[in-house]
Amino acid sequence: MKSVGSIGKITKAMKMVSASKMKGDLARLFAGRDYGANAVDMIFKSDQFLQRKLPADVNDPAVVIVPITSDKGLCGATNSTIVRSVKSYVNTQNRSKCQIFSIGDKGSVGMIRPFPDLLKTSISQVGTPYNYPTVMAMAVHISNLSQDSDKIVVVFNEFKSAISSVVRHMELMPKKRFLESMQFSKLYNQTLPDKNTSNPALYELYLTSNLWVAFLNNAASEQSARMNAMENASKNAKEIFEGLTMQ
Amino acid sequence: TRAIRYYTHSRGVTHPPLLQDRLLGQRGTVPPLYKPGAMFRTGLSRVAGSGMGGLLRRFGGSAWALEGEKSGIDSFIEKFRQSAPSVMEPPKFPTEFAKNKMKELDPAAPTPSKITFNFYLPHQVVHQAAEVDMVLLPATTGDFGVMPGHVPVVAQLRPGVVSVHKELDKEVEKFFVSSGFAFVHADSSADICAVEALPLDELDPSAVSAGLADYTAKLAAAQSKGDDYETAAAQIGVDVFSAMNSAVNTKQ
Repeated sequence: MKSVGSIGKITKAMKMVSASKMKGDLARLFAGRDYGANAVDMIFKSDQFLQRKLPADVNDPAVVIVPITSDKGLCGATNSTIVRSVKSYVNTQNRSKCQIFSIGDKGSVGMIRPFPDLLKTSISQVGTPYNYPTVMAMAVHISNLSQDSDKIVVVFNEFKSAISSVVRHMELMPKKRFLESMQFSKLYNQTLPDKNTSNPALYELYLTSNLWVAFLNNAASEQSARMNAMENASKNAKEIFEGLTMQ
Repeated sequence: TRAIRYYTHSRGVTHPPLLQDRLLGQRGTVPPLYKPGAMFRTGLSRVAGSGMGGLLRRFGGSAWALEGEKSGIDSFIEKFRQSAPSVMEPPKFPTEFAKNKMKELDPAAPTPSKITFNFYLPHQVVHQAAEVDMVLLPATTGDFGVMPGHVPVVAQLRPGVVSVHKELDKEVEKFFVSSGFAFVHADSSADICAVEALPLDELDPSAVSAGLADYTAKLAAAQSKGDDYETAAAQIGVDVFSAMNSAVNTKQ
């Protein structure tokens, strides 16, 4: 009974901590998710010439998969759904053409067994709360790994509400394809010397801001899932405790 | 995520593109697998922010495009179901929730009287959909001002001062930005994405001159040592601090 009681207390404390962390993560999510990628998207959305001239998609693409998970556990199903989603995705693709760049311990550990040949790089202990320069550094690594691939797929949990989040696959262009596409941009005025030097920088903005949104969403989803998991654990502990108490 | 898909009919005729934007919690995942005879072109995909509704925009509305998409989705979901665990839901696609957000640009419409201005930092939204008269931007190729009806531009910014004229020359906000990108769109909206920006009032002149002296010394040291990386880093420091210096001094 003593152990059940103390477990109940611990989970209750963890729930409070997660709730307050979630508030912080939500604030960061709402502040940061409009950054960057929307604007870059408009270039592609509004330029009809560019859309017609985009390089054709490959039938059997070489993919770099970037699943984003956490290092700590006890966060409900968030990490395991990411791992399962990646497994299902790899089964729909040509396995020999996939590479996995895993961010977060839980994901790396979960994928080392089914995909020992695909897991190329893994990053762990990314300090929370996430900050933008760290994400920029990761974007550079991903960009280097995906030099010869046809697309980058970022797998993360999108925060929908405090009790639900959804797994999203975000598809991004690797650098070569982005630069090739931008050659055809007509609507947006870019003076020639500027075009050649600023398009790689624009690619960095595109990749990093998309990753940033993914990270923010993932953090908020993780905290909300942990809060719910600890809430359930406390409730269960309380029930067991009452069951064990003599009337 | 927002994905731009282009459909090419099997006979090589290009159909108008099917634009899909991402919707919060609604964004499609992997694009459908290729159906024989239809070539899908996947462009940008992006996660949509919460404020953004899903965008399904069809230029010209081609029925073929829709069919190609639907059967592509079906074949993908079939394959996904075979390999995914039974309790896992198949991904949702943007076609399932179209919410037209972007305004159709009517060429006959008069130019708007104000610019819709967005100023984003990774950690803060400085301005969102603010109606302003003019914005002055420090681009790498030179300073330029944006007024309603400006031609669409993508400009890389250098460290410098962004002036937001809420009312022309009357209500002016100045920010020092650490470089970034500025986008002016065809519907008279402007976006600035910078990694760091602060109101000009918050720059401390003494700290700025101290920093400038510091980095100038570092630059000299690195150049004498011949270390390329350190030279570049110090040069960046000198550039930013000189920009801050001139910004602070011009204000005074």
